Amino acid sequence: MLVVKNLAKILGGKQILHNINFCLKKGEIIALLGPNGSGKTTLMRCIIGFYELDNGEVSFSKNTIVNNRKKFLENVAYVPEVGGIYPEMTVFEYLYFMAKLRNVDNKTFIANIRYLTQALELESVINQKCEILSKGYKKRTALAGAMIAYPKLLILDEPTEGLDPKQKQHLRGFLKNYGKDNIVLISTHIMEEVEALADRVLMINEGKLICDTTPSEMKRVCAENSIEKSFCTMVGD
Amino acid sequence: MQLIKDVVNCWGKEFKFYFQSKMIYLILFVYATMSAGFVLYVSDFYENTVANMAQFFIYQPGILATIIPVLTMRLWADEYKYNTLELILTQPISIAAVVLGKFLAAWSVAGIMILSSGGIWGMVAFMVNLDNRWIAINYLITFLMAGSLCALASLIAVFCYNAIAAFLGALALCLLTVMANFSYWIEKIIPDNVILNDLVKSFDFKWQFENMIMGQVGVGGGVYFVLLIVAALWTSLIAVEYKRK
Repeated sequence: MLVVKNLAKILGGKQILHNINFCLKKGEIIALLGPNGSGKTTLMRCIIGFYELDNGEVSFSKNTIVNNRKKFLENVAYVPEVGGIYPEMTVFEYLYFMAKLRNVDNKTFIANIRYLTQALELESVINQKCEILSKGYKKRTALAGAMIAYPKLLILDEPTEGLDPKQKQHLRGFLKNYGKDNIVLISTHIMEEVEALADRVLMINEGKLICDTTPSEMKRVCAENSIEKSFCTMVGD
Repeated sequence: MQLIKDVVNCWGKEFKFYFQSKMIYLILFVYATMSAGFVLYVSDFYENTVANMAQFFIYQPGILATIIPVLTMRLWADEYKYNTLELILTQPISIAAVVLGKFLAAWSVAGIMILSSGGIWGMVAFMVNLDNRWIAINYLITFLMAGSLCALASLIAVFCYNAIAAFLGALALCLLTVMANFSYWIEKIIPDNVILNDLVKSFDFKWQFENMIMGQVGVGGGVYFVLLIVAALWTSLIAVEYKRK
């Protein structure tokens, strides 16, 4: 279980996140929503320990980045919105490097790479350099790298950005399946993705958690029964 | 043990990157040409009555201070450019392993670069009888000195989001470190204070290096370069940690 308690973050003298509290349980797929600049990426960076917290605590299975950095990060993986892969490496080299960093032994690595390249349709580009891959392949390579050790908490920033509709559908199915035994936290602006994937919605506005609900509950906020309209109503547009 | 494994992983990634780019062969060529040029022409090798390797080693701080920034300029700039900093810093490895791995990769390439000047050694050894054991020790001293320059240049690289800025900053710091002749100024200002002169001299990069290659291999010189490496790496680690704030 991921527990975020009283989380606050100040960047460049400005308070980006104010007193955020929530818990995420195994088997949940959570959509993190909010307008641009609301603090979604900062929140995700705080959860994965990239940013030091100004206040509060993030713990996963009772481990925090402060008391047991290694144990905490072994369970958590993050895929940023852009980049996150080394262009000079081939897809295989990248996945191997990620496996070594996550202490995955060779036997497990072979099994995992076989499954992930097949599930994410990366087999045809496995020996190609990441720099020449299309946006969709880059995105899926970054995802495969993050998942090489099957983290219990997977955090994805705009995971379907740059994918074609078929790839989007495929990836959603894949994440839905992965989310059955793990926690998947997704930041997205695509409302159909929230409906298709998420069991729960966390919404932030101006650095504050303003809503923690389910997609179906969220729809009821407006008369049109639409997540998009509800989103606009909630952020005050 | 785990730290060593993590350092080796990070070192391996960086070391491989150097040789994936053709630039490295150009750097090796420039280094070898500069070293040979300084030995043969600047130090009047053919007119000199004593043929030895001293002329080669004496110019190494200046040559390495110019070339090492090219090796370190993309160590951190590429992480910023490709948005991989948050990837590498959120893996279950210590940040020290990342800093150390990057530094060791640059230092290893510097070592290969220094070894590539072996032809000059061979040429001099062909002409005169050299104390090869002593030359080998001087190569090791040069390697240690190169390590301290790599650590200083890596420190600058941590602060720079752009490779060119990292190169220029590191070049300035390395050249200043090599050229700073504190003892010269102190002798001019307070000529009679021997203790102060000796103390200030001990901070001179070039003085320490020249003393060592001229045969005064004491603990002092080695400690000086090792301390410089440790201090620069420690500061780099603090700088990376600070970026997380």
